[in-house]
Amino acid sequence: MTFVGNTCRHTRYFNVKERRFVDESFLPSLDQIRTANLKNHIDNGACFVFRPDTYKPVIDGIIPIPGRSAWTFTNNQFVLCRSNNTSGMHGGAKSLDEILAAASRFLKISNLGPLALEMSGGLDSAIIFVILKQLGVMPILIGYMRDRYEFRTERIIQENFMSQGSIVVRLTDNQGRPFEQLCSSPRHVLPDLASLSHAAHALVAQSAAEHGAKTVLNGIGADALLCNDMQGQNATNFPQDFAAWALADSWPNASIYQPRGMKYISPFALSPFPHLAWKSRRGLPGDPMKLNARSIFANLLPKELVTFAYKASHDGWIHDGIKQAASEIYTVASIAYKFYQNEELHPDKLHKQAEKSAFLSDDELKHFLSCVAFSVWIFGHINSTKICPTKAP
Amino acid sequence: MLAAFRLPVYEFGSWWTICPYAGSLLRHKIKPLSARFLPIRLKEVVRICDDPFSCRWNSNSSNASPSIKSVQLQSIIYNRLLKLGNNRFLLSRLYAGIRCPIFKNTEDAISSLEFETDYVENGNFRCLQRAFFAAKTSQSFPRSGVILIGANIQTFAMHAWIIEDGTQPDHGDRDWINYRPLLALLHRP
Repeated sequence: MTFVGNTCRHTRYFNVKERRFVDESFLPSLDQIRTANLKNHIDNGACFVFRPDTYKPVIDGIIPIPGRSAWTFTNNQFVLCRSNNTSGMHGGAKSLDEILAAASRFLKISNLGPLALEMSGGLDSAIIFVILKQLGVMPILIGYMRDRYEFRTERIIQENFMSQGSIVVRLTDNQGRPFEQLCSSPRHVLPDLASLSHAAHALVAQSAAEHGAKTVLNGIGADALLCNDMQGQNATNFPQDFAAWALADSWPNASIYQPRGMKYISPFALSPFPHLAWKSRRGLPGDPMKLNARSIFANLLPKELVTFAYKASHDGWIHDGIKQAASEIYTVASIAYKFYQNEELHPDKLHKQAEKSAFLSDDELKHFLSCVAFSVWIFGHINSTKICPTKAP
Repeated sequence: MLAAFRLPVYEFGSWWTICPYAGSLLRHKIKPLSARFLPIRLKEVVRICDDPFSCRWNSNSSNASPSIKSVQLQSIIYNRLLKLGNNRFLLSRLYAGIRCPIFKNTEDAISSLEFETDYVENGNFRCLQRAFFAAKTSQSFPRSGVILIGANIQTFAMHAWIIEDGTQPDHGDRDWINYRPLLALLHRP
């Protein structure tokens, strides 16, 4: 049995043949990329997080170990041996005062440095903001102000909070679109869907760094904590299924924030909040509108977030991003196809799908995005120093 | 019959409407014909769609308890609308226009559907039938309700909902804000 623990905030890579982590500077060789398993990558693509116990290797023998997680490796099987959020559960928060006290204690002992907050205009980032404000901490607010029709409610809430912030960075809809600048995605160890929105992450990180922030807070994980059905077996399984490592923040941390000496973290995933939420919601049914959370923070949140539970759809924004990036997808896929020789990556096929992405079914869209992420991964490794050479038809 | 008012919108370089007969999303190169004057009730509803925070919304569904007879009737009406489906839009519109008021308002009518098996399983995909059902069976709809059919023009997804007397009566539907209203159906004052 081998103990495999990763205390970092980002993914590390375990070589199962040598039974040790590879170096932090590890990048796959071109031979490893040529023999990488696209089908396994597509199968993994349905997951936001690569759990080593369910992960299908893309590069033979290399398994990603999520940050802040510990596993045992026996008989070619990984088993989770510890979840960060199950330790030290001493009752859940029922009132706002308890949550604020826990947050205050947490801020005192954490070394997060100057804070920035991604302000989307939704409930999750709003909760983070009002807690910080109540504790006298004013983060730098960074928000994409999207001028699309479906974001009109979120714009009102963003403006409301931004009028309270001391330092505010408004990014426009044309900046940081998803799938933008695919050709300049940083080289990374394994193909990852998060690499498709690297430009949006990089812009937030850059804006935060310009104003001196060391940590950018996000609302990742709040949906699971505040919405999930917490009755019966669901409540029992929750601490194993939801842990700080089970969040989609690893790739941005490793590829975007860490190189800038910064962190990208979700307060919802940090001790003591997951277990406060878990304990307080234990036994309650699913709450997709987060009505429970809205009532707890009713006195601090604006009435738009307490009286209403609107949620803007990102579908149009994503499909628009894909369509705008169709030419770049063609470019990236051309290089990847030449190198990897697999029809799934054929540039004409991916370009056609990008142009008509709104008509793809959910499964087809996932398949398409996995293929684009794989192409971006290959492109980054073999063509990182060249300027995009191939134009779309 | 429910009167139809087209609400053309210019977005992404084209004009967009929904066909009042087929219920399909249409793209036009030139501005399509539409009513020169909208009823006051419809103007107010369009304003609410543009500013959803001015709409009254309640997260709890109505507690109205219908009689056994009305439960049977509601099942018949709802199942007929399901049979007509989305593809026979004009027939559905005609059927919904024939009044059968068994509920006080659209809120009670929509809440009553929570007991329909099909609705529980496919509620999100039955927005058009839900809206037609509420319009047909509610006493208050001819006076104060409007059915809106909208589209997300980027994804071509469509949705139907009701605004009645400043309220969105379907408590489970918070998705309506993502769709631009392109067609309104209402009883003429």
